[in-house]
Amino acid sequence: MRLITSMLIAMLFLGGCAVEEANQDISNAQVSAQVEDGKGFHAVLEQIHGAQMQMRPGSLCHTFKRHTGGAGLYRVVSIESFMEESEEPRQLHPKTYVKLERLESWSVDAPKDPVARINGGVYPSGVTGGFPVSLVVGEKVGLILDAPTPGNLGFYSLHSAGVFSDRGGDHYTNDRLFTKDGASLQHLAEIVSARADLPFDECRKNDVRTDIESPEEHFQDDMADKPVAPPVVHESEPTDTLAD
Amino acid sequence: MRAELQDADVACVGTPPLVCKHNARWGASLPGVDMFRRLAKTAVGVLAISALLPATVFAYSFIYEPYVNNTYTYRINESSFTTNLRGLSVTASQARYWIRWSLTQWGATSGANIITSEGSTTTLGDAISECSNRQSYNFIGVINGCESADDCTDACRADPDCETTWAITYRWQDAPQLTGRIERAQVCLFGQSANWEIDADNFASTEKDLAGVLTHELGHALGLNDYPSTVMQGNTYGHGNTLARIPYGDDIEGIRAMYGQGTNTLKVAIYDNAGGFTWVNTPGTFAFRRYGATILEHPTTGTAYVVHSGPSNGGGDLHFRRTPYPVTAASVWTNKSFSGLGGAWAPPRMVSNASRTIAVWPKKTPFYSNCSGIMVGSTTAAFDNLNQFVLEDSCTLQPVSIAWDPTSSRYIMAYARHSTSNSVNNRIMIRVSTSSTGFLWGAPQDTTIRSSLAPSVACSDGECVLTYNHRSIDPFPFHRAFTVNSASNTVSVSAVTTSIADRSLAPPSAAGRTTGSDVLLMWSNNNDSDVRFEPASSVPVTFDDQYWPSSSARYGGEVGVFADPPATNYFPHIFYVLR
Repeated sequence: MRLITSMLIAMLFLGGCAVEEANQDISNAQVSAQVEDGKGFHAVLEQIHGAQMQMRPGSLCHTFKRHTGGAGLYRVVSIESFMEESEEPRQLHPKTYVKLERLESWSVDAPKDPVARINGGVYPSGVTGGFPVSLVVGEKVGLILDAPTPGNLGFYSLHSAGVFSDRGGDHYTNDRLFTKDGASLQHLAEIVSARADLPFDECRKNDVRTDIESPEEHFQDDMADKPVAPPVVHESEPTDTLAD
Repeated sequence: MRAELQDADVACVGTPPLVCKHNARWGASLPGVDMFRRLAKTAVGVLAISALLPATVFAYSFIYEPYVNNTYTYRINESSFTTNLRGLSVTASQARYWIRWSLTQWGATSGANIITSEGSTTTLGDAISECSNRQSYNFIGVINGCESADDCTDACRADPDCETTWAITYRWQDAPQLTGRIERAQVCLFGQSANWEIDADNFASTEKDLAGVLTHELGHALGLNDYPSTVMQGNTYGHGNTLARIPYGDDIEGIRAMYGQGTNTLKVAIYDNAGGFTWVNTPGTFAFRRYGATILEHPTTGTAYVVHSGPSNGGGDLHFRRTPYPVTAASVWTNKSFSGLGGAWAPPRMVSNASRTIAVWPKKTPFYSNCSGIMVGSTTAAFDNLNQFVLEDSCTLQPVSIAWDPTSSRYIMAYARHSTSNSVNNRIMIRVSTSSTGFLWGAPQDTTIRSSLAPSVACSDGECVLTYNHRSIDPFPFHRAFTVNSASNTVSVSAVTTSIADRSLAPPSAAGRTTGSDVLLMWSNNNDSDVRFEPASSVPVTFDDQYWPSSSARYGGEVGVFADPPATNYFPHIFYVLR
């Protein structure tokens, strides 16, 4: 069993209040005790893979409406997992803290260097997973954060719809918008910044919708809804050269 | 616990706290290939990008090693399915059936070495915290709500731009430095996020296909990630269609890449004309898979062959294995492969008449959405050669059934049509050859009958029968008699149906020319995958006249007949691949 951090305990007590102060720094966590059942087990991750969702993609304005913690360009500073006692009594599950550094503000309420507390992490056995988003330490990501809630102990959170990652070559996408070619970072910043602070109804007047092409749009279905045709010959007879 | 493993997929170093780096396993480890595949979704993209990609690039993604022993064991929260699905009344047994059905499609279409096992029911899975926190076993449940309260509003349901999550799968991986195996998958549907439906008839544009969502999520549970232009495309497939029920294309390549190709034993049962069947276990195993085999009589020599067929992995080859009849434990199976045929979505099915053997299979295309064409091959039973051509205006992803009608001297093929138009999707289409050669075919004839899986046709000396799984939430095997008009090259399908109250997981099979001119039916029983077998003309149908308990025929099989001397006696045979 590994170690517990007093800072983590402090954060548990600070849930729901003094958000900015409470969630700024987990890197100064101090080792204070060793506990049973893996409580406080701590793991440092370089990369996490998110849960898989089946969903209808939302437009950018709908994303703003649902994820209200501010938008900006951030660098992933660290990803650390801690075993914590969950809402269910005496059950321990890992939670993961993603430390972020703000590089640009895309909305007026983009927090400076927030820490996001998300589901999932590493068990003492090494079993890893349960994350809602995919991230890599050091990467620059466009984020539309989920606002702090008491239920999340006053921490920000992340939803995959609000994470715009670079798929390579300055092609950013949240796998819902800009999925074809991605958006350059500059373009993404311009688009998000121009809408993030607008009221929903104003934003919707110039919304950004998904570019995902439904398979239906490409389906070559010559027979769809046509009346039954009389039988016709479609093929020329091939040469029958088969030998028995 | 010192991390030792470091390979291309997973790298971990040090003692805990672990520092792990997981690299997503793509079908091709090319930088930016994902973006290329996205670009390649357009016709222009295909031309522009294809030159940049190796010929064997597949589009799928996973990061895990398979479950221990390739076995996915799961438990179902049955009560959550019966109470929490908005707009859909489903019983516990129906819910269990459709979960099993969707899971079965992954193995049936790919032949991947996946073993599934159902545990007892659970009460987990109807709350998001139960899904997002790792539990002690895999489960599938339905939350009586939505991911976000906004999803549950009528305004959001009606707004095509409103973000809506239908289902989510949380997964955990065994310590990457140890095995890297997928260790846990917890599937939760948001029951109030949509109006759910299964019945494929009159599927409203406002309804979401439960079976399609299950197939997608169970793909995640098996380890695949989202990927565009496949069933694993997580963020498309809106409401009102059943297009995403069955894995296709690179879904199949992905699950094969993760689990490996299964090798299966072909089971053969031969009726001995003394009231019973004798089973023969074929020697060795078969690298290709699904369904079973058929009996073909060489038109000239009269020699009979048992033939088993399948497409190659990802390539354009078709493979056939044959052995002279009768099959014994000492039978020698000969391989015959044909390249350059463009591949197949499903194994060919074949039938012989007095002059030739005709094989039919659904043409494989680069993207499923371009699905068009059924291939027809002409050969002898010995498969010395295979001339083939394509019927371009037909589209299916499942096996195409073919029969020879000795009365009209016509070949008949039947398939379940794949279409974006829900008003015609899943309808059984029939084509009749315009001559006895099978080279010329009439236009597709829409029977207006819907089938949840591929249909099967067969003719005896006295009757032809179309058999299929009903399109409803209870897909019992149905069959209808039909006659062939050799002047118009059309069929007249009887309105009278006979059904068997036994939900089938696999396409049923039919074969003709049995004693008494009955067409024989075979299907895979829902509960225990028994092979069940039935003369079609039995009235009333007594579906358990012949069956083999625990015969592990989840993927179905084929029934065939052969005339042992004297030729007036036609003996039924059952073929299926153990699973």
